[in-house]
Amino acid sequence: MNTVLECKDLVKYFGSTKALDRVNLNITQGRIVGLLGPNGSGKSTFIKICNDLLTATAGEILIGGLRPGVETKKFVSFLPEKNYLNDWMKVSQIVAFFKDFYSDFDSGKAFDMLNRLNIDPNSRLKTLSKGTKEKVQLVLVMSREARLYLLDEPIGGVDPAARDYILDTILRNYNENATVILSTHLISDIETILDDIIFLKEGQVVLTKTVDEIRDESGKSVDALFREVFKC
Amino acid sequence: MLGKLMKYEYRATARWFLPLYTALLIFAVINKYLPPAQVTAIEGAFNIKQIITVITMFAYFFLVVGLMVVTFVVVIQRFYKSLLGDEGYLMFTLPVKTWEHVTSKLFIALFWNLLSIIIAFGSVLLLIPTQDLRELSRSLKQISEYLWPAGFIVIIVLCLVSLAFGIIIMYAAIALGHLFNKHKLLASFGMYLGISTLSQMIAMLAMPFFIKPLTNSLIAPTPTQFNTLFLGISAVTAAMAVGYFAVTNIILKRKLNLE
Repeated sequence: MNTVLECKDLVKYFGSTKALDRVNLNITQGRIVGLLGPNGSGKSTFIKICNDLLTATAGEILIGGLRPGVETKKFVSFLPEKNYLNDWMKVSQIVAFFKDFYSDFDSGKAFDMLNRLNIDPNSRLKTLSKGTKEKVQLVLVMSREARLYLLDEPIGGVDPAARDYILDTILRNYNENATVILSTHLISDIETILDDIIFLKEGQVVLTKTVDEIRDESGKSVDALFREVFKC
Repeated sequence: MLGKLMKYEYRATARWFLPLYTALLIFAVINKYLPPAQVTAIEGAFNIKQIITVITMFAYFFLVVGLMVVTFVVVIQRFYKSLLGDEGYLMFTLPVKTWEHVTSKLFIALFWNLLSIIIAFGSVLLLIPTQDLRELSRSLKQISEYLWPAGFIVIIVLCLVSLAFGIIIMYAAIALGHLFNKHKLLASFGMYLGISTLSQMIAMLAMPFFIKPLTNSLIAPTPTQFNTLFLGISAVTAAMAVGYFAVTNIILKRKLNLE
């Protein structure tokens, strides 16, 4: 199996706070991976390092064999947990913006999804509600034909109905050679779509398993296992 | 990719400048054709004509000041917000090199700075009565005949380099401030003061080298001597600008930490 993401002894400090502590991972092609952990466990930090938005303190991370940079950004599609939309464009303009910069972007797909979610392409980004902005971002990110999707809290701020559509969108819009890594703490909602899970706790990887392994070995759901591992 | 970045940078900023330019030129024309305020000729409590004249004068004045403020603020805000704020998540995940981001911001900022200066001067020319304008053009002609053509080019070079320098040191200050874990804005401000002082020291060390030929001559300096001086200043300023650009680029490339 082809490795899509590999990291060796990845360490990240913010000042004197340790956010990631010697993370070692090997993620292969064609999987949907849940990056799970409580708040502040280093999920976002990890994803941001993958996207070159944060600089690692030590260790190495390789995406498709390359260090994060211009080349990896061409095939990595990233959904941050923040709203990164500017306040002066219309929805249709940000679609054009993505089309301009990403050669793997499919505008037709984006407009289809916007239509399904009842988002008017002519509305200004500034006027959209928080949840709608999240949907727009997800549409943009999933309209790319990327090799790796990194989705940070993709369903955190949207209503349950839209949540189902979004998960469905993720499943339908990635081809089987692509890998999806998504971070969340809403485990029960996404459990059914996951192939693998990674548990992060205080910056350390405490468990990596396939969902099938978890079910076979412990007979538990991922959600139940999570509650057990991270019991307060 | 640089061209695309510049296209979007232009669009993001034009919505500020184009309405301001239009308003400024309109008020300049209005002020020219309204009769000047006659403070002594008060007949009755309200003189509508006079009030309108005063209001349009103030409006023009505030627009000029506003244009300067907006030009300054947009330079800072476009760099800080769009690269190091939440929008940085979008910009820095584009498959674009870091220097292209910085360059696109710089070029567009330079463009608006130049245009703001031209529009502001243009509006003053619109305001000036026609006979004074003729006199002005005569004296400008004398100056330009004295400088033409080398001096003319040298002055343009000096202006461009100084403007670019002024923008780049703000970028460098913001980038250096970004290295701090806390109080990034305050740190940026401190860095700006630091960089300005450093630059002045470098300039002071370099200047005697260029000024010497001028002070040595007992007669009035020739245009060539002026040109040499201005080119010298331009070269020193440009060298510092290149240095600060490199600092900005390296920080954004290797030390980026979007939180």
